[in-house]
Amino acid sequence: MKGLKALIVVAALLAGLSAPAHAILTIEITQGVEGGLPIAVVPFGSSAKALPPQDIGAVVAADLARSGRFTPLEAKDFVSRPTEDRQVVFKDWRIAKAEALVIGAVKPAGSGQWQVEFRLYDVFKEKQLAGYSYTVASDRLRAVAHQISDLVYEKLTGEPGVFSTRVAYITREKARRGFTYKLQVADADGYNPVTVLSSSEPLMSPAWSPDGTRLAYVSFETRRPVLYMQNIVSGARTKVAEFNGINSAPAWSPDGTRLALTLSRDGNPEIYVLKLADKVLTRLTTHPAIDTEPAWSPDGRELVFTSDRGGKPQIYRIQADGGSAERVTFEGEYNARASYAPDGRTLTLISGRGGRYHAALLHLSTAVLQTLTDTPLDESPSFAPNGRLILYATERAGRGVLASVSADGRVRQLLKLQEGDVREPAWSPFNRSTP
Amino acid sequence: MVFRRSRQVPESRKAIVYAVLVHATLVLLLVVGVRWQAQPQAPVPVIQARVLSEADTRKDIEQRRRAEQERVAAARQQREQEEQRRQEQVRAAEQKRKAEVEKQRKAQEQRAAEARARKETEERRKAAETSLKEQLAREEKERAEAAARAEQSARAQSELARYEGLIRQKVDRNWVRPAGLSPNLEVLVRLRLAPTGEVIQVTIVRPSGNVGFDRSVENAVYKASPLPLPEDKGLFEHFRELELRFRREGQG
Repeated sequence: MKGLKALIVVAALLAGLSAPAHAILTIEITQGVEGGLPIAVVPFGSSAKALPPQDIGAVVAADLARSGRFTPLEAKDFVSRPTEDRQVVFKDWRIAKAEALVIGAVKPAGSGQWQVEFRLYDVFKEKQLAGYSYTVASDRLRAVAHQISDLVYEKLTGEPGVFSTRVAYITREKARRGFTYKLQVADADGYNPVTVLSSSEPLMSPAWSPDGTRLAYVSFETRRPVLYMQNIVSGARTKVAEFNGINSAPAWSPDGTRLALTLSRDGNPEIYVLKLADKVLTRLTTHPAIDTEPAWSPDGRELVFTSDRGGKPQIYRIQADGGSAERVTFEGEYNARASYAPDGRTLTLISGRGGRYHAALLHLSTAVLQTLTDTPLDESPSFAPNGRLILYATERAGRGVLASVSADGRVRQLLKLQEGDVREPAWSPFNRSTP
Repeated sequence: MVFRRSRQVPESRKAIVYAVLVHATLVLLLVVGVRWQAQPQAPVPVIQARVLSEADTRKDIEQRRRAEQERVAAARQQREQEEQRRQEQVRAAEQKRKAEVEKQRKAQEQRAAEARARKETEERRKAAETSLKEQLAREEKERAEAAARAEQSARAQSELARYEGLIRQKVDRNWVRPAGLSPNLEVLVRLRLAPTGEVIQVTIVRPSGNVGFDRSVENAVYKASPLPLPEDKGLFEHFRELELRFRREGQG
C-alpha cells in the first residue's frame, strides 16, 4: 500500500518533470511545391590566357537540369562568383534560395592537359559535400563534367546519376545515292557521337548488352535482315541470327546469356529466346498474329512483347520459359515497344490514339497509363539505368531527334541535335567503358 | 486541617508516654513495696514473733502477685484497647483526610477538565470559523486563478494555434519536394529554435529512406528560418523544440 503510494507519487513527479518533453508541438507539413532542388552552379574559373575548350560549369548545369531533379539557378542572378573554397559566402546563396552550390576551376596542367577542380556545398549546413580534382586531356573535359554531374546527383539525391552513361541510336542521312545509315554511340547528352557502323542499307534496333560492351542490331547490308552483335570497343562483330524471313528486335536477358528476338522462320513473326552459348533456340509464342518487340523484366523471369492478336497492337506478358501470354495494356487503341523500368514496376511504351503516338508510362500494379509527352510521333522509349529518365525519339521539323523526359513527365528536353534523321535510341546500362 | 492533625499527633503520643510511665511506676511500687514489708528485721528484741506460716506468706504473696498480674493485664488490655482505639482514630482521621484530599483532587480535576473542554470547544469553534473563512477565501482565490488560467490558456492556445499555422505556412512555402518520388514518403524532423525564431538545429528523427526527400525537408526548414514566433516570450517554451512531420498529401 505504502509502496504503491510512493510509486504513484514518483510517477506523478516524473510525469510532471517530463511533461514539457511530451508536449513537443508537432506540425504537419503536407504541401510544398514539387520541383527540382535549387542549385547554383557557378561558372568555373579559368585563367584568361588559356580558355578551356569546354565550359564545365555549363555542362554540369545542363546535365542537372535535364535530369528533372534539379533547378539550376540563373548565373546572372549570382551575387558572387566564387571559384575557390575561401571565396564562398554561404549567406549569398541562402538569400538566393540555393540549397546546394557547385564551384570549380579549370587550369592548364601542361602538355595539353587540364586540371579540373570542383567542390559541392550544402548551403544551409555550410558544409562541403564533395571535392575532387582531375587532370585530363582536352577531349576528356566533357567526360569530367559528366562525372562531376554524377557526383553531385548522387550526393544530393542518394541515387546514381546517369550523366556518364551513353546512348546508342541509328541515323539516316541523305547520300549521293540513297541514304547512309549509321549506328552511333554518344554521351547521354548527345555529345561526342561515335559511329560504330555505317551502311548504305538500313540499320535497326540497337540493343545494349547488360555489361555495356556490346550492341546487338539488325542490318540489311545483305538486303535481308540479319542480326549481329558487335563489341563497341574493339569493333569485332558476330552474326547471331540469319534465319529465313524476319530476324529482328533483339533484347538481352539481364544476365547477358540469352537474347530474345523476333523470327518469322516458321511463317509468322514470333518471339524466340536464343541461348548465346550454344545457340539453342526456344520459341515462346505460338499465335497467328504478329508477336514482336520482346523486352525482359529486370529479374529475367518474364518478358513483355507487342502483339496484334487482339486486333490492334497491345502489350502482353509471358513467362521466360513460355506458357500463355496475358494482356497488360487496355487503355488506348495502340500500345507498343514496351520496356521495363529498372525496378520492374513500370513499363515505358508508345501509346497511340487518334494518329498521335506519345511516350507513356504504364504502372503495372494499377494498370494506369500515364502519357509523358505531347509530341505526336514519339518512338522507341527506353529507361535510363537509374529509372529517372526516359530517352525516346521524336520528330521535329520533319526529322527524327532524340529527347529525354523525366519519369514523372515533368521535364522534357531535346538532346543535342545530330546530323540527319535520328531513330531508335537505346540508353546504355551503367558502364564506364568508352570506345 | 493538616495543621490540626499535626498538632494532635504529638499530644496523643505524650498521653501514651504518660500512661506507660504511670503504669510502670505502679508496678514498681507494688513489687518494691512487697519487698519492703517482708524485710524489716530490726535488731530489737524479738518479741514473740508470730510465725507466719510459709503457706500463709506464699498465699499472700500469691494473692498479691495474682492481683498485680490481673492489674497489669487489665492495664495492658486497657492500654491496648486505647492504643487500638487511638490507632483507629488515627486511621479514620487519615482516611478522612485522604478522602478529603481525593475529593478535592477530583473536584480540581473535574474543574480542569471542564475548563479544558470549554477551551477546546471554544478553540474548535474558532478554528471552524477561521477555516471556513479561509476555505471560502481560498475557494474564491482558486476560482479566480482558474478563471485567469483558463483565460490565459485559451489565449495561449489560440496564440499557439496561430503560430503553428504561421510556421506551417512558412515551411510549406519553402519546401521544394523532389519530383517523381513515391507518394508514401514521410519524414519527422525535430528543430531547436532560438528565441528569435532562428533554426539552430534540425535533426531527422524518422527519415523517409530517400536521401533527396530528406534533404528537401531539411532545406525547407533552413530556408524558412527564422520561423515566426509569438510576441509573448512566455510562449516561446512551446516552440523551443518543435517537430515537423513532412509528408506528401494527395495524388499517387
